[in-house]
Order: sequence, then structure tokens, then C-alpha cells
Amino acid sequence: MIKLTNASRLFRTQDIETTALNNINLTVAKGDFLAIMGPSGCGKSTLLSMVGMLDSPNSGDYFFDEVNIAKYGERKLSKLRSSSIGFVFQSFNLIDSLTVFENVELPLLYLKISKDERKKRVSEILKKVAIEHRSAHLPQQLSGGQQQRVAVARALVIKPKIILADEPTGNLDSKNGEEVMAMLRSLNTDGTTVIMVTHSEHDAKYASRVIRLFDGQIIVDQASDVVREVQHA
Amino acid sequence: MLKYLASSALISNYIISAFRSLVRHKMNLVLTVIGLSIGLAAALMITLFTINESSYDNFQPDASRTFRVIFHHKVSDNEYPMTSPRGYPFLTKVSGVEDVLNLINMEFLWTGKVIIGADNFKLEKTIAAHENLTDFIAIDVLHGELATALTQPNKIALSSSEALRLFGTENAVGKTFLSISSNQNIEVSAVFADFSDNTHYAMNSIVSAKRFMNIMGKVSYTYVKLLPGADIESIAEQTTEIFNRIWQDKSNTVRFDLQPLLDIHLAPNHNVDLKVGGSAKTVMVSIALSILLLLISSFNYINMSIAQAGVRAKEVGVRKVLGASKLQLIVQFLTESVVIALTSALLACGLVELLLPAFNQLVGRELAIGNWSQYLFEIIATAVAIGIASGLYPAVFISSFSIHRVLSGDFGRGKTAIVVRKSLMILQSALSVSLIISAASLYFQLNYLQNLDVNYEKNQRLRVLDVPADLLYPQDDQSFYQALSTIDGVISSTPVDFDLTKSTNAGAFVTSVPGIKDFDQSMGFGGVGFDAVQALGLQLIAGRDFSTQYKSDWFNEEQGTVAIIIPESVLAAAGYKNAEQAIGQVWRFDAGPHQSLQGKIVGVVKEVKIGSARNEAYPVLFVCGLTIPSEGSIVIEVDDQNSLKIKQDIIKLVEQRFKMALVEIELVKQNYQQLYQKDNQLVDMVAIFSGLAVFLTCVGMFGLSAFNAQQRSQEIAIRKVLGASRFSLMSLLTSESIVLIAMSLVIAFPVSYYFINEWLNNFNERINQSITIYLIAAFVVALVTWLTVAAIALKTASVKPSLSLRYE
Repeated sequence: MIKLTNASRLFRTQDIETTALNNINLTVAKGDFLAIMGPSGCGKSTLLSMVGMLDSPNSGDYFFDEVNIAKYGERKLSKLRSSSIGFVFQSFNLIDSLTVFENVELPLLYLKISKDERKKRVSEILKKVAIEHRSAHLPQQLSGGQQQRVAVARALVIKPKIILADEPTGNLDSKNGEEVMAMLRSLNTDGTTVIMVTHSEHDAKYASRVIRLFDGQIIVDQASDVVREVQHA
Repeated sequence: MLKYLASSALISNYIISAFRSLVRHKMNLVLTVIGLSIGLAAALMITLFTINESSYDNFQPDASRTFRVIFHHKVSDNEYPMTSPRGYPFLTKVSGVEDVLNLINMEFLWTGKVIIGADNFKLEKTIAAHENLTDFIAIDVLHGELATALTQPNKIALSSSEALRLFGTENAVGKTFLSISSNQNIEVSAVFADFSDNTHYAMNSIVSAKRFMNIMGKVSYTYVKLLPGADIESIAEQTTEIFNRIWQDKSNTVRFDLQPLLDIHLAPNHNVDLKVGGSAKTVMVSIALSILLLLISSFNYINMSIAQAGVRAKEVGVRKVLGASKLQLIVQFLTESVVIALTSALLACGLVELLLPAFNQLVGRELAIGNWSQYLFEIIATAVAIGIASGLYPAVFISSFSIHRVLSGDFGRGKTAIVVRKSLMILQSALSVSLIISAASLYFQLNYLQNLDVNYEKNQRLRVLDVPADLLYPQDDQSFYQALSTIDGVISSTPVDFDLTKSTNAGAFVTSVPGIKDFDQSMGFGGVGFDAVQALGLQLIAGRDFSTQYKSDWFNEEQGTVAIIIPESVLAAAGYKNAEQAIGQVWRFDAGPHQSLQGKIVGVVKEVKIGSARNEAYPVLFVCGLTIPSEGSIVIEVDDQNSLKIKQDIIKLVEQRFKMALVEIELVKQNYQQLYQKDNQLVDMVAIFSGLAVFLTCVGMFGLSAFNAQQRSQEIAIRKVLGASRFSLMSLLTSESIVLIAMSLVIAFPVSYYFINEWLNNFNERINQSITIYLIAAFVVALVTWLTVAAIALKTASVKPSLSLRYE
């Protein structure tokens, strides 16, 4: 489904040039649950942005569903992204002046989905992540775990092909973190591809495949420990 | 396409989002909305004022075809709105003229003093007219028959307030009073509603003009109604010929012009107008001020929006991630600014309801909003326009944020953000400083013009009005003035036959000056008495005052000799190198019925400014003991112009000596101020609106500084952790603002100086720009900013660092 070939991303500020990603080659199949790991500054977030069509590579190719989108402009990327990819951020990134319901509804507004359809989908998804009882509340009135659940609901409401999660449990306590990871895993079991950036070895265990980045390059790309244990068992 | 940009669901999302965000950031709400409301309220009131001022007399019958006849003296460039009623039969025959209206000002022909029962009254603003009066002026007759008063002698029509004043009842038809001067009973045959505010016509009572049509003098306001398509130029020329014939004037120094009725109210006032009109200048200045206020409020809004862009950045990033296009984001932020503008408009309407009475006081009008729905469309349209205009740049600016930079948190602290923040601060500060300087300069210049030296003294002067001339200028008997001087508090006194605050009545025609072939300076005639310089407070620059010590100063009819005092401005034309040379010289002049009088110059004074301080000075020849009009007044210098006792003593003396009833006495200063009220109004208006403008910019400065300080809360927390004291943190932030303000002065000072200088050069008399104003302006802005930043810095620096440093 996703194929990056020799993709590189450079950042230039005045006289300093940083190579965030250096000739990345990565293939992700439908239904994968991929964890991206590595020390700080290794380029994880940049890679996620690129995969998530928030950013484009300076050189190399990005094939999404067989189509090379490396040279797509902002408009085209936006269209593709908003119908295919759901985001879950570490800092939730909910809009403070909208209620839970309105936050989850927002992507559907931009997709021009009809009012009835919107209502149906949002209610369904809120039920699914067990936050419906708070649908009229504002984000400030929710706990961290609840906010993340709303964010997950927002990512899901567009029925995405991929979920991209950037340190989804980074701001949560262990109990809430577990809940979120469990949710992601069940989504994956149902068929959604999940790509997750994480620091936590614990969280990485939920994934079926782990890649490790260092200084902008993939140094390890293998099935996760759990899977290998199973394989070796 | 439209659906894509602004489907109703999206719009309601934008509006909900905007409202909730406003409520959360209350300070932002208060600053922007209040700022815009003030600007809009001011604009609304000024619009009402302007519409009202431009609509005077537009309800009169055939208003667009009606013109006033204006006498224009080519040599002195003086204009006079009155002419002789003798022109009537000739004017009606001019081709293109449909009708002619004469309004004869009875002030010149009748004392107006009457007796009703046991009481004395004086009627003022009495007009004599023909039956065609109502063809020109819309008059609402409440009781009786107006035509009777216009056609029959000894009949009068009263305005309803005049009827109330004289008879205590509005329906005074049939009542009579005795006219003292004619010893005849006059009967009231009609009562008409008081004239409304928005007309230049003003009359308290109306009589028939039949008896006065043969008067040669300029006693009649004259209006002509032209046929459609008439040739105005040609009619004006014919009018000139008519009056030249009537006055047998072959000097070709007179020209008549036709002034459209609808232009009269805003055109420059004439001193003999029955009512003080408006001023085109005031209207234009107020329009400029209201536009300025709107601009400032919009600028504040733009500034605050851009400054706060960083705060909205996160939301922008999220929305972009969720699929919003740049255009959709622009529409979102424009919707927000329109919502804010509409809210402000609502508040502005409330403000106007509240403040309209005070505004009416300021401009001396009775403006009212009858029905808000009349203006609804315009108000909404303006609010939307302002919302879009102010919101456009910030909307475009905010929606261009790149997602990556925003979501990485770089935005609020990045280099661009800092540059933007500092530039906005400099800009706002420069604007505020310039504005304060400009407002102050405008005020001082107008004030200066108001208070220019008129070269006579208005303070501590009382004036007794309407005294018969023969009593004031007795041949050989100064006993009245001696008795006057014995009153406690009276310092000096002199008779005067014209009103220095208004105009000269007559002219002095100098026929010969020793050594000069052709002396053609036109001068006004001022008949005064002994101690004229002292009593009037004239500025003597050579020679002496008229004095009882020199009995020969007084006019001697047999010998045709009199002492005169000349104005400084004619010295050059008379060939004198300095004022001293003039003393003792004898000039010959004509005045009124007197020919070839010999006037000996005993003194030279600084030229007086007749009328408004802003008028050109008009040379007046002061003559001792000779007068031409039939009435004059006494100007008395007192030590306390407010003392009731002095006034009573003077009145008693005059009543006794001159056997007069109803002696009128006024303060010269008050009289002057009332006449030039509209000039004062302009200055007041400028002061208030400039004050508002300054207040608004300070609000803008406050908002910006507050916001900037808050943005640095993380930095403050870090510094605190590293050991900074609260005081040093405060100094850090405040010193940055002071530096920024100093930089803004580099822009503001030269720009202000240049433009203000250019403007001041339009005036003959102008103030010099003083460095004090500049320094004070800078100080005020710096103070507002310093206080704001210090307060916020202190507050932020007291917060626990852990709270600020927490990753949001």
C-alpha cells in the first residue's frame, strides 16, 4: 500500500542544513501494524509526516496505492490525506472551542458529508470509543485519556485506510495508555493499517513489525519480538 | 464552489467556534469589540450630523429653484446678504424669475419695544413680508389667518413660543399690544409653529411689508425663485444693473450673486444673518475624524489578530490536517472578523442611543434616531465591510502557516514570530505617538485662531444697548458720563455707534490726506466719545486717547472739526514712515450727511478685528463725538463684570437720565462667544474626538503589550528557574518595550513634524510646533506600555515555573 523509494528530506535554515531522512526505503502492506522507534532527533516524526502526506520528500518517490505522490502539491495531498489517513497526536490536538461531537464531526464537514450521514457516523464512532456520554463537553472538561479517545474517534470517523499515531500514549498514565493501545490493536485486527511512532518498548510490543531509525536511516526492520517469538516457537 | 467554501454547516461551525473562542479570551473580546464599537458609534453619530447639516431647507417649496441675492463689494471683497426692497418690481420682471421674496429685517426700522398691560417687552427677529411668503417658506399656521398679518397694517403673526412669552398662551389670536414708537395698537392675527431646526430662516414674528418697499437702504433679505433652466449668470448681471440704477451707483464696485438656497446653511456666516448657521468646515472635519476613528479601530483589530495568530496556529494546523484548504481557512477567519464587526455594530447602536443627547450638546443640534430600521441596511453593510477589510490580511496571514512548522511548536517562538511581534509594536506605537501629536497640534492651532488678538478688550466690558444717538453724543454736556463714572466699580466709559463684535455700520470716505494724491483706502466709521481707547481697550501705539482735557476733540458742527484716531494699517498708504509722523496731521473726510470734515489725528491704534478673530481686520476711523446711525450703545469698563450691583446701578442711571424703559445690558465677552459659538464647537469637537482616537490607540498599545508579555511566559519561567528575580524579569520585558517605542519615535517624529507643518502653512496665523507636545506624546505612550508590561511581567513572573514549563 505504501512504498517509499530512496526518499530524503532536508531542512535548510539560513546556513544550516539538516538531513532529517537519508535515502529511506520502506514498504508497508495493508493490514500491517508498524512501530517506528529510535532516539530523539533520529527523524521519526519527519518520517511520519511524510507518510501522512503532511510533508513531501526532497528526492525519491512515494507510492501510495501504486500512485507516485512524491511531487503532489498541497491541494492534492490534502484531498488524498483527508479521505485516507487518520491522525492521532501525542498532544491530542483537539480544537478547544468545539465540543467533543463537533471535534469528531469536523473532518466530515471538510469532506462535504451530508448532515444525516455525519450525525450517524459520529454517534457510531463515539459509542465505539465509549465517549458518547461526554459528546456535549469541551476538551478542557475531559481527562487526558478521554481526550485521546476523542482524538482516536476523530481519526476513525473518516473510515481511513491508515491510522498514523505519533506517541499516542506519551501524555497518558499507564491505564489510559493501555486502553488506547488496545483500541489500536483491535482496529488493526479489523483490517486498518496502523503506523505508530513510539519511544516505549512496551507499546512497540503491540505492533507486528518494528523499524528502528538512527540519524535519518533505517537500521533495523524486522518483525517484532512477539512475532519472532511466535515464529521461533 | 461556493458550497465548498462556505456550506451552511461550515459557516455555523465557524460562527460557533468564533463565539466560544471570544468568550474564552475575554480581554481580546473587550479590546477589539469595544474599540470597534467606539469607532462605529462615532461614525454613526457623525453621519447623522452630516446628513442633517446637508439637508437644511430642502423641505421648502421649490427649494432647488430658490436663490438668495447677495451683495458683493468688489473692492473690499465683503459680502452682504441684504439689499434694498426697492428692487422688487424690477426683479419680478427679469426673464427667468418666477417670483421674488423680500424679508425685511425690522430691527433696522422698529425698536420692537411694546407694552402689554403693565409690562414692557421687546420683540426681536421680526420680519416684514408679502403674501408670497408661504410660496417660499413652509410655515405651519396653528391659529388664525397669516394672510391678514401680511396684508394689513398694525397686524402681526407670532410664533408659538413668542405667543407664549408675550401672552402666556399659544392661541393669542385677537390679543393686542401697544407699540411704543408708533403709539399704535397691534393685533395678533395668526400664530404659527416655531420654525424647525433645519432651516436657515428664523423669525419670531411677521408683519406686512407693504409700507417698507420704498426704502433705499439694505434692509431686506431677498430671495428669487427661478424658472427651470433659467440663466443664473444673466439674472445675476441684471440684478446688479437694477440696483446700480436704484442707488445711482456708477462706480462699478458692486456685484450681485445668486446663492442657492440649499447651500446657505453650510456657507460662511454673515454677521447680519438671523441665525447662526453651520459650517462646511466643521462637517468636513467631523467626517475626517470619524473616518480616523474607524481606521484606528480597524488597525487595532488587525494588529491584535496578527499578534494572536500564533495562538490560533495550532487550530489552523489541526484543521489543515483534517482537510481544510487555505481558502476555507481564509473564509473561516473572515467569518470571525465579520461576526466581531456585527457584534460591535450592535454595541455601537446601543452606545449611540446613550450618547446622542451629549453629542447634540456638543454640536448644538437636535439629532434623533427615529426608527433604527431605517438605517439597518447601511449599518449592517458597513459592519460587514469593516469586518472583511480588517480581517482580510490577518486571515490570509494565518491561513498560510505551514502545517509542519505549526505542529512542531516552532511557530510561537520562531524567528518570524518575534520579528512580527516587534514590528507590530513599533507600528502601533508610532501611530499612537503621531496621533497624540496631531490631535494636540490641531487643538492648539484652532484654539490659537479663536483667541487671536482682536486689538480691543472683551473682558470686563459691559454694553448698554439701543440708546438714542442724540442722548449719547450731546454737543456740550458730558454730565451723563460724569455721573456714570461716579458709580462704584466703573472705571471708564464711552459711547460707540457700531458693534465691534459684529460689523461697522457706515463708511468713512477720506477725501484728502496732506501730501497724498489718491488716498483710496476704504474705512469703516466708528463714532465714539471721550476715553474711547481706554473704555474699548484699544491698543494705542502713538499719540493719545480722546480726552475731556482737550475739549476741541469733540465734534464741532459749526467749524466742521473733530479729532480722529486712525488705524495702523493705513499709515503706509498715507505716506507716514512711522506712527508718530501721523500725529497732528489733518485729513478731510465725508461721513453720512457730513461733507468735508476736518479730522485732526490725535492717536494711532492697532487695527481692530471686527467680528470673528479669524476675519481679516478692517480699518476703522475713530471719530470723537460724531455719529451717523440713530442709535448707539455705551461700552463701560468695570472692575467686576459679574457684579449684579454695578449692572443695576448703571441701568438705574440710564433709565433716569434718558427716560428709557427696559434698558438692556450685556457682557461684551458673552456676546462675542455666542456669536462665534460654532467656531468653539469645532474646537470642542476636535478635542473630544481626538481624545477618543488617542484613547483607542492606547487601548491598542495595551492589548499588544499585554499579549506580547504573555507570549513570553515560557521564557520568563525558564529564566526564573535559572535564578532571575522578579524585578529583573520585569526590567527585561519593560526595557524591551521602551526600546521598541524609542525606535518608533524615529519614524513618528519626523513624519508628524512634516505633515503637521504642511497643514499649518495653510493658515495666515499659525502656532509654532513645540517640542513639548512631542515629548509628552512619547511619554504618554511609553507610560501606558510600561505600566501594562510591568504589571503583566510581574504577574507572569509570580507564577510557578513548573506550570509554564509544562509541555502543552
